[in-house]
Amino acid sequence: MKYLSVVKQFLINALMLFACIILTLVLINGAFGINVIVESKDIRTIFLIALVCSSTNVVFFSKKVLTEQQIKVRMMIHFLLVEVTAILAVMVMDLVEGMGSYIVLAIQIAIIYFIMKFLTFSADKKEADEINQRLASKRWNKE
Amino acid sequence: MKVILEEISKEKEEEIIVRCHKIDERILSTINRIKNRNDILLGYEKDNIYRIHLDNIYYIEAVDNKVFFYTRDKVYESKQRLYELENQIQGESFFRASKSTLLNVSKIDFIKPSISGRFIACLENNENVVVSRQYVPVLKTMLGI
Repeated sequence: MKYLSVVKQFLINALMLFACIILTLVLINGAFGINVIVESKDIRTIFLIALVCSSTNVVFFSKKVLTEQQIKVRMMIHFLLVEVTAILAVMVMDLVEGMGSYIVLAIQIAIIYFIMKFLTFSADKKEADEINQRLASKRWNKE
Repeated sequence: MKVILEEISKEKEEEIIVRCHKIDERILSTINRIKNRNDILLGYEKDNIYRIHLDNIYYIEAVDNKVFFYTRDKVYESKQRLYELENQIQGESFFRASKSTLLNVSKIDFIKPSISGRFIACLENNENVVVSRQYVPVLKTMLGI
């Protein structure tokens, strides 16, 4: 049952990623006038990429409760896996050319990754503040 | 619902009177919980057995198939499994904070987020306990958020 929920989450992530890539391509075509032609072969490739990218989350699964240090190490591994997978995906789809472009791409991926982490942390901080306020009011009532 | 608390002298017997419109499932389960309330756990330390009041337990943790209670400055071993204790103390101020921990809400000083995506509960005795993201909604429900 537990493994089933892990597989379910993996498929949901892959489908979400696939939908995001397709939507981005549609937006690029519509908003910026860039003509990216997507054939059925490309759609299969995009889905495969989404599956591979989603599978990088495997590094966070563990039967035991991980320590903070172990989580941080796994986050670094996850970041490297995301970088490698995304660059390989771009290579397969032949979207950029030249070493410089790949370096710029790697930096962009890193920036997006850390922005996402920062946004998650900010949302968590807001949630923690809400909990702390309630804890404080309970304590105050008790006293 | 109105709640009346009255302090009585030691000579008188303690009692709880429930005045309700209808005796339903909710009322009966509340009464059952009060009747069966077992707020003492047995803790083992070397060859000694101690009766530990739930209010004195900060958190309960399973480590390598053993279960431990953590009080302000002492650790006791339990002979019960974590899920048994979880069932036993249901309805008390404890909630599951991670796969291996039950945490006493009343002992939490404050909560802070961690960069790892989890939350850290800082307790009144300055210990830190990890709260998994998936159990944060349980804590929020307990606090009425």
